[in-house]
Parts: sequence; C-alpha cells; structure tokens
Amino acid sequence: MKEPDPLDTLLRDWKSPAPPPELDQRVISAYRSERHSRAQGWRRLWTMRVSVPVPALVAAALALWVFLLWLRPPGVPAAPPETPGAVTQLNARGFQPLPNGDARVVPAAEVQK
Amino acid sequence: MNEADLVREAREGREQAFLAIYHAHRSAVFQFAWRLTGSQTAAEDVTQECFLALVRGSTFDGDRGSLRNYLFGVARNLVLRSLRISEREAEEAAEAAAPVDVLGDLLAAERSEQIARAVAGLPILQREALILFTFGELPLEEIARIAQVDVGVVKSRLYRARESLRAALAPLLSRDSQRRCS
Repeated sequence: MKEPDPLDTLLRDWKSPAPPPELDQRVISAYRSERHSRAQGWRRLWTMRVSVPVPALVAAALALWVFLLWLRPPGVPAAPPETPGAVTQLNARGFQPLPNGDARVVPAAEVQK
Repeated sequence: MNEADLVREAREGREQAFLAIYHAHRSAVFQFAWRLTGSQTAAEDVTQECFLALVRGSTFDGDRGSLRNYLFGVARNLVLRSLRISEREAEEAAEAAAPVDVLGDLLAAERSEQIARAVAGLPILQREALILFTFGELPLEEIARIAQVDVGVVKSRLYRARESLRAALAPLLSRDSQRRCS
C-alpha cells in the first residue's frame, strides 16, 4: 500500500475555524433585507416617475410622429395636372370606334375648327 | 427537493429554502474563504456575499455541477475581486513569488499557524487549487471548472504549490519524519 505524502499529513494539521454564530444572524438579516427591497421594487413600479430632459422628449415625440406617418396607409393617387390645350373627357358619350382602328392625334385648335 | 429547486425558491423569497442552502454549505464556503484570504473578517464578508449573490440572480445550473462547487466558484471570484487581482496578474505573481521563510518562526509559532503562513505565501491561484484539492477534496476536473481553466493548468498550479510548500515547510516535514523514525 502506498504511504501517504508527508505534506498531505502535515496540511491536515492546518485547522480552520468554524463560522462564528453571529455570521448566521448577519446573513439571514441581509437575506430578509434583500427580499424586502425586492418586494418594494415591484410595488414602486406602479407609482414611479421618470424625468426626461425636454430635448429628448421633443426628439422622441418627433420620432413617434414620423413613425405614425410612415405607418399610415397610402391614399388615392392624385390626378395628373391638366395640360393646357388638351381635353379630358370622363364619359363615353358620342364615342364611336374607328372603323379601321387607325388612331391619330389631333391638336386642340383643329378640333375647335 | 433538488438543489436547483431550493435555489429557485430561495430567490422567490422562501426563507426556509434559503436557510436549508445556507446551513448545508456555510461551513464549507466560510472555511474555503478563510483559507484563501487568511482573514476572518474577509471570510465572513465573502460568505455573506456568496449566499446573497445566489438569490440575487445566479446562473446556477444543477446539470453542470453541485451547488457547493458553484458556491466555491462564486467565493473565489469574490476573493479575487476583493484582492483586486486579475487572473493575469495573479499568474505573473505566481512566477515572481518569493519563497516563504518559515525557519525563523519554527520555535515561536504554532504548527497550524506555520502552515497557514506557508500557504498564505503562495500566489492566490495556486493557493486556490491547493485548498480545493486538499481540503475541499474536489477532483481536478471540478477545480478546473471552478477556476475556469483547463485541467492541465490546475495540475500545474497544484504541482507548483506543493513544491513551494515542501520547500517552505521543510523544517516541519523533517521533524515529522524524524519523529516517525524514532
């Protein structure tokens, strides 16, 4: 059988003290205090106030406004601006199809004639 | 109830769960801290912080090791932080550590005190490996996990610690040897 290392035997003589009894009370008090402060933390959540610098508030409001604009659904596309000299007709009254399908662009002055 | 459940309950504010954990591990944690720091006050502070850290939001995972070893890990980090020694500085100190002269204290000091002084003369990371191996009786793999290093590094630290202690405690060792022979 292998003989134990004399160093190990010597090190066994190094006795450490037991934890003092007052440590128990200290740790338990610290635990209770920790628990109490955590419980208060949750309650504080409902009544807490936050102070925000005005520039930060304005920037946040602006960012929110831009975001809401971006979220808005796109509206009906605007009608193209009217070109002088061109006639826009929105109904099909008097329309007759061309017999040969040959289309021709007629200037406004010629139509008035 | 397993250790992970106890930790969860203690964190939720159940004092009984906290007390069960505390009473099961306080001596081991306190003695580990005391041996590492050599100070009663520091060991008390570390023990308190260690158990409070557990309920403040620990990352304890029962699948990755026992609660005791987890607490050893927390305690060693607290000791290192309190000593303001980074891992790298501690490694560098390990190279430059001066041998402890115990010879002068041989007649005056108590046997236990001499061993304590010799161990206190070791660099902190060697001391940690030695204490966990010799007094915590942890396997090398567990020590490596606590110290967050490879097993090879732990072996090396342990070897250097034991060689330094053998030199520092040579008078005591030879006296023991003579006593055994006579």
